[in-house]
Amino acid sequence: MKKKGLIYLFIALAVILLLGVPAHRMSREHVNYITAVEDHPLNCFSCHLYIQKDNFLAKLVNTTYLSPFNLAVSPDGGKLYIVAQEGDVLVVIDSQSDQVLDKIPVGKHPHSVVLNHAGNTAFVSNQWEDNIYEIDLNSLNVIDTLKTGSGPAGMVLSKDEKFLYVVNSFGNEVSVIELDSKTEKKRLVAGNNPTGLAISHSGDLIYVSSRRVLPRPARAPVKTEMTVIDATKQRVKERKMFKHAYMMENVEFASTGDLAVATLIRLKNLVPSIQVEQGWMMTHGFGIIETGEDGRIIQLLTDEPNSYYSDPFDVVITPDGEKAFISSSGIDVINVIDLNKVRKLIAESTPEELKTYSNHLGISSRYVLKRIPTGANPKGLVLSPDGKYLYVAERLEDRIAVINTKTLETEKHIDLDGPSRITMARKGRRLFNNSGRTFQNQYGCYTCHPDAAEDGVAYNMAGVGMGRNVTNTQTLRDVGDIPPFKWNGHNQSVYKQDGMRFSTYLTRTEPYNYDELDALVSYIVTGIINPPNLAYNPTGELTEAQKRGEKVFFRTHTNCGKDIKPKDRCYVCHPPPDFTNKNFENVGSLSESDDSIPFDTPQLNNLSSSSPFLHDGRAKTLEEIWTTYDPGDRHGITSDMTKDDLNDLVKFLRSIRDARYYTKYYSEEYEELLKEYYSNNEYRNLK
Amino acid sequence: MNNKKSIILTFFFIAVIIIGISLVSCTNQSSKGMIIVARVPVDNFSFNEENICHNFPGACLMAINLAESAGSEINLTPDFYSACFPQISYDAKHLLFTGQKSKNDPWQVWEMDLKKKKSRKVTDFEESCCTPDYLPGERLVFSREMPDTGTGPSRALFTMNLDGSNLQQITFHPHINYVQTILRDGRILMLSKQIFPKKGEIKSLAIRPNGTKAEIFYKGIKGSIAGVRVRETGKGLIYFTEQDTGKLKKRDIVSIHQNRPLHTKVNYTKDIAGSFYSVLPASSKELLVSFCPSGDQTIGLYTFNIDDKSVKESLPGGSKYHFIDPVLVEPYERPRNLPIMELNLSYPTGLIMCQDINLTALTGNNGESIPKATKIEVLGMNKSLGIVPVEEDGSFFLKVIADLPFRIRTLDENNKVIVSSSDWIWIRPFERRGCVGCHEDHELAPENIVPLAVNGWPVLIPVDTINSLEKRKTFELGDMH
Repeated sequence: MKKKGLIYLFIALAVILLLGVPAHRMSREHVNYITAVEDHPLNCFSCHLYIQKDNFLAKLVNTTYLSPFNLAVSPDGGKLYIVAQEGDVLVVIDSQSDQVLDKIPVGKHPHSVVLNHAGNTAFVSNQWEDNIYEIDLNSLNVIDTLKTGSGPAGMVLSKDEKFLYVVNSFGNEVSVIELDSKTEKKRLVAGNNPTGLAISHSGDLIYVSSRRVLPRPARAPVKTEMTVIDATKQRVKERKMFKHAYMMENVEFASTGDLAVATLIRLKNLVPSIQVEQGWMMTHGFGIIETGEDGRIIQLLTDEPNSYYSDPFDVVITPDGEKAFISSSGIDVINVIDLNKVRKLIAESTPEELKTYSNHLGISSRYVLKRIPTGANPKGLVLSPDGKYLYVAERLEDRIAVINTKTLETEKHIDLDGPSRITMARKGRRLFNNSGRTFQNQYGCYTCHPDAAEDGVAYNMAGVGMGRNVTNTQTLRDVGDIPPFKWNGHNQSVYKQDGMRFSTYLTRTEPYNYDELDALVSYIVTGIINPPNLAYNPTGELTEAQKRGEKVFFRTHTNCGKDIKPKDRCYVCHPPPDFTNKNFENVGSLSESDDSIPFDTPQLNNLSSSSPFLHDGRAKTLEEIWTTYDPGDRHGITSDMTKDDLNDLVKFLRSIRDARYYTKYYSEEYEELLKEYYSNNEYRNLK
Repeated sequence: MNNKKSIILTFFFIAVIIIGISLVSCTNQSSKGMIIVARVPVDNFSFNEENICHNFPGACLMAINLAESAGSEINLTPDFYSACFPQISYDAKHLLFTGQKSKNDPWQVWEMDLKKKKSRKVTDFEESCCTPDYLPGERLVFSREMPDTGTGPSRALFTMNLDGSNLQQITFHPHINYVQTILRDGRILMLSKQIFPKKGEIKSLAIRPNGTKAEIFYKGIKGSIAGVRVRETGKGLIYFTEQDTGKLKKRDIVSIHQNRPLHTKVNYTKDIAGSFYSVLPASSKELLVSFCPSGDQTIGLYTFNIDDKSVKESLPGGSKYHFIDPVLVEPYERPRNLPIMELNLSYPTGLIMCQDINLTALTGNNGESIPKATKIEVLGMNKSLGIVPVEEDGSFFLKVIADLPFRIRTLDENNKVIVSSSDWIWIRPFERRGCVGCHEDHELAPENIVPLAVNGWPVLIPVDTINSLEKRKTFELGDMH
């Protein structure tokens, strides 16, 4: 018996060895390919557990956090109302006892909350539902739903509380909602991707801050709009331009009435990206808008020569107008600004000096009083009514920091009762939103990929030489299934995209270690989804024009009846569900300053919100892709189209939603066309 | 019986484990709290104004436990003629230092295993090497004397793997360079003094470990001499000693902040009589310093309190020796390991661009602005490497031979000098470097515009003496770097 046991043991060992050695080699090769390094631990979980999206394993591994984003405080200071962006709830906190009193379910991806002066009503904007919930704060129930434009974000009440002004961040408008009738009375055009707004203390002016730059010719200097609304006439009074700046997430008026402060980033996309030192890629700060007649715009930095305070998000000003608090969400810091020193600096400086100061990394020493460390990703700020406390939404901690505005020290944290365990994807999200892994903290992933999308700007990435190969930022939403990555398709996985070359040419500091890379990949692949395309395709039912456009997209013959070669048909390079064939194509879009390479076909999901277009961002609109930049029918056959055909095609392209809506089959009518071109294997791979 | 055996065995194993733990604990306790300091014979200690760094013949490295009474010192280098400049590894298990086995040996870099107390030679050159420091990734950086090529004695920085392989020179200008420290952000901070064409002021430059992106980090007032060794705390304060320009040549403790080093200098000891020679942060409030209260005393180790400015004696020098350069035998946070892949040593050139040569922090006589320049001249060690017209916006774009030191001065259309030469610059193979202006404010970020010069091809340096735009266009077509 003993001998038999030994024999069995020997056989088992031999089998393990025979299978194990080649299996190990295969695993090693597989992991080396995916990660593009040769020493990543052979850990199956990194790829095969933490990047599961929506199956049983994903549910096991992941969890839903609250992610507090913006907040408001009751007029008596006794309660805090916190928008939980991921949790889709409004959290009500007793600010004295720190107790969570309630979590009121609200709509999808809520953005902001405002209270009326009496403190008995709250309005919550649901950015992914295109509406606002009106909540009775006595019963803590939703009592009404107000329709808005696309992507409602920041809100303010008029001084008499008769109107609610809501920024529609996807629609580039401000809705004016009459609260008596609960109807939208007006819609005002405002900037590009506006998110913040503030009303002056007199109530006659509203400033609306935009995040994205205005459309402009390729390689032209950028500018971003601050829309000024005359609140009495409810009309746009002025469009102030911030040159060389963008990502103005929020704005606030000083009670003194002399100025408003907006957060902003001064980007350097036109400068060859050859170094990080000396503020070469991004600088961060705030804009001062003088409210008087002929009021100037002055931009100043919060950065220092060897330390940057990235992604400024929110700004609040003390009731006496003397101090401003800015949440630098990329580096977990609140910058405390002495506004009197800013006023003095502005008063004593010539216009030339002020222009220099907008790029001066040492100037912040004149007005930054202190930098208060916070938890991960500080976003929305609110001051207590007496100005004694600053409440900070620490988004990736699921808690609120309470800072004493006199001592400028953190007194306590209020836990919002979110999940206690930190998932791999959450760790990855923290890394994504933190610039600590870039040289001198100058920028993080979020800086160029706000909300994990793209910032609408093309960069001189200086891949070869200095003036060549300008590239348009690409979205990171739902990219897990569409390798390869980068416009030139050089990176076969997200691992490689964020690995050694990323640290050499972008972050210019020590690369992520493998644990961090696993976490970052987990977040990028599983944690970033497209918002619903409510503006153009809310239900999946296409309009007549979109249906006509769909026909154009799937056409196989020109208007004259001539056969269109498969390689020139839209659907061949851009098949659903991701509307990319994940192959390299040359569509004649190279410019003189591009190296002669084909590009990895980009996906078209949620295209409507991602201008400009083409690899270098030279097409300001979808139409321009063909009307201006494709005279030779190299990017599909469009020269025979009428203007209506092109309009319809564009309408269809705008209607394309997230890939998950196209996974089963696209439509019977066009399924055959897809199967005709792609072999069974290829077609299965597309899905 | 079997039960009895099991019990005995169990107790035996437990005893072994307990003894093992206590042995390990003893070993750890014996190195905690130790400092290592260079003990220098009084007769061999001199600071010459020309020499900004000194190796001290006859010095040795002593391990001292300041908490214990006198007599606890251990000579770590009894078999060396001289040993100084100690630097602890991140895990506190090894020590780099500069040493001579015998009197006439060139100074070389050595590494000691602190547990075994055994040293091995790391560098073995004919020229002297000193001021070593650890770099992440099992490497080190050190200063090495360079052959005199007619510019006078100079010293360059080199990096190398700790096993002696992969030796790389990383500085190429005619300077005397010494390693001061490795900053937390991963850059090397070096003390640097120009020696050619004329002697310059002493400055601290920050440079990446692959020799790229050298930039000014700190400079004191004219005539001051910063100490070689600096120490950065976890909060970004950088402490060092600095000799002032007065008659007494007093040396004080100063600090700068890493975030804004050019403008955050604090002098802690200007009102304290005596001179300080080295500084080591011991806690948030206290520094361990080498201090000499008066000219007729030796340098001992003292504790300096930052708040009340008090100086308390810890280890007097005695009549025969000075104690300088203390290091604490404790693990510390490793600096960032900056990527080296940006370099490609097989490329013979690098690129440099400037946004606007007329953007300058300089002013003319009587504060008036400088006249507009329209050209630059690139100056080599002994000759002009070319005159290049700049673009309308003042920008230029050059492709320079890698590792070749050069300076740039600006000219008007008549080739008259507008702004004299910059500091020496070198570009590493495949490096791309950018400047905002010429002698610009070092705290100025670039304006967000496309420099006109980068729309075309770079100008190769060296070029012929006069370079026309037409000639430039025909340069380098097909050579896309």
